[in-house]
Amino acid sequence: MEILEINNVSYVYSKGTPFEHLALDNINLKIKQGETLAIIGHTGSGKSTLIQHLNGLFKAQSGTVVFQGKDIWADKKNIKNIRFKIGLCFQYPEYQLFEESVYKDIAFGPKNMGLEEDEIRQRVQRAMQYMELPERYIDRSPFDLSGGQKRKVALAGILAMEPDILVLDEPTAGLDPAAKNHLFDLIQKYKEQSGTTVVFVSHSMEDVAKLAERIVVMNDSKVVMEGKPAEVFEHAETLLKMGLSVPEITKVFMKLKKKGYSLPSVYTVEDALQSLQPLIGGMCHDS
Amino acid sequence: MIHDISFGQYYPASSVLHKLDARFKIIMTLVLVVGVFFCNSVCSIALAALFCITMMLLSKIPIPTFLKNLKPLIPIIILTFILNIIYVPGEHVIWSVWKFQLTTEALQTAVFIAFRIVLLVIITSFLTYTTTPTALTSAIEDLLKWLKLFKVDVHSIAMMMSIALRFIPTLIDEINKIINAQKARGADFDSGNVIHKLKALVPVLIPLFISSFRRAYELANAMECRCYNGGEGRTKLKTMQSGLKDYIALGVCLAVVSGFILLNMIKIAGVY
Repeated sequence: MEILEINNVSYVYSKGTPFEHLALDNINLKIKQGETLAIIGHTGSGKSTLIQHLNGLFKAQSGTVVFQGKDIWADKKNIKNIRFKIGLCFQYPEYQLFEESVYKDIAFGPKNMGLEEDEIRQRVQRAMQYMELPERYIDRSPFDLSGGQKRKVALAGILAMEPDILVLDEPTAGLDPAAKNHLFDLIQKYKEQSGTTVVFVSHSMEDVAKLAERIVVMNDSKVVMEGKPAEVFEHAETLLKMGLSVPEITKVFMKLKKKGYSLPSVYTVEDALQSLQPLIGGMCHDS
Repeated sequence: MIHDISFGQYYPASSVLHKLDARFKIIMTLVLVVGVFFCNSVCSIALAALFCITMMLLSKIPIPTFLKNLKPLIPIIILTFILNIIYVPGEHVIWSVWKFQLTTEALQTAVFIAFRIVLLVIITSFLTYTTTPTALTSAIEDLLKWLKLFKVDVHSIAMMMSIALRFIPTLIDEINKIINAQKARGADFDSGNVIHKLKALVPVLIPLFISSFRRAYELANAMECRCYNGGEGRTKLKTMQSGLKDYIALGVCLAVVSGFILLNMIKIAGVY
């Protein structure tokens, strides 16, 4: 079942000036209830513009965005409520922290929803647990935390709104590999426990292969490919031409195949390990 | 949203006006602005208008772009018009109601001043529309060189101006991003009374200040890494060069201004 539908959406920046720039060109996209969808595309392909259409920060100049069967712009006054249901977390969200304590910052969204103080407290605590933030942080200034912790506080601020769809713009940009994996694990765990639909933008094909159930590829303001990771990564050459890539392990297997080894196509290291195990006779153990 | 603020207002095009030396353009603007104040007759205002229209066509910038600049000034123009009509004394009464008398002199002054404001705005927008902010600041630096005699650090002032100008679009982007991020968390910037609206700005201003300071430190470090130590012995990548065309343009401007003064003496149908 579709939870969000994007129909024929187009958007032009600075229309009618010499700086005019077509950012979205007739985009059609259906997001299914409960899925994890990845949007990939190189810088300037329109990904960020697209995701800001999902919660009505941008209004499509033509086309519609339909959430649970209803145009999000059907009632202009209701757009604020749409933003609580479709939680959007920007790139480098830690730059948007402003409150004097972690608690107050996470509570900003729920407070704007007009919830009771008790409910807000519960939601903040739940969000902090999801992000594995220690309880003692609750009264600390978010500006005293490390970069990775700040990011988690900012994400918790979105989770505390308990949205139906969680939209993340490059959630792990600028983090070191360990922090990156940790954050993705947390998002995955959150998704499994809450059943939230997750849409995320990423540059890292490894992360996309690991997390996404479906991938949308954007190039030159258009959706050029859509499908399961296996279906999309099959077109490795087209992806490379668009300035994108495929996971490193896929590249290795592609090279081996070229040399004449008969191997399946794989997209994650775990799958690669499994497909190699029979060849090396069980000498290789899962580490 | 504040997406449409174009600061510095530079309008990219390739025209004669765009190619003139920025220093000359500043001087020409000053000459013309002073010149417009000499326009005291129908003929000289007509000449100024004709000159402005020719310049607009020469600049290859669409005329509506110029008119857009006038929009915010409409209230001021109307106000000065009304004040002039009421307060300028005159002898030839055209129409009178109660204590108020409309005189030819007052009407003439009011119309002239309205025209002059419009002309001033258009003339100054030639400078900002055809000159990049960077060219403008280095031209100002060059024109103010003589202040060094009085121990004024012209280079630092110019550098601050260019950094400020350079960061305005960046900060506007940043503000938009932060506003959107807080809107995504349900912040409301549009409804409520003044106090509510001011309070709503806190979640935008704090992150903005923090990121501005971060940027300032980064820029200072980057400049120090490249051994920046002020204007001493510093040369420019693009030196400003004036040529024959700049002198001709300045000559034309001076001729037009003398035209204004001469035309003031011509009377049409008894009106100056």
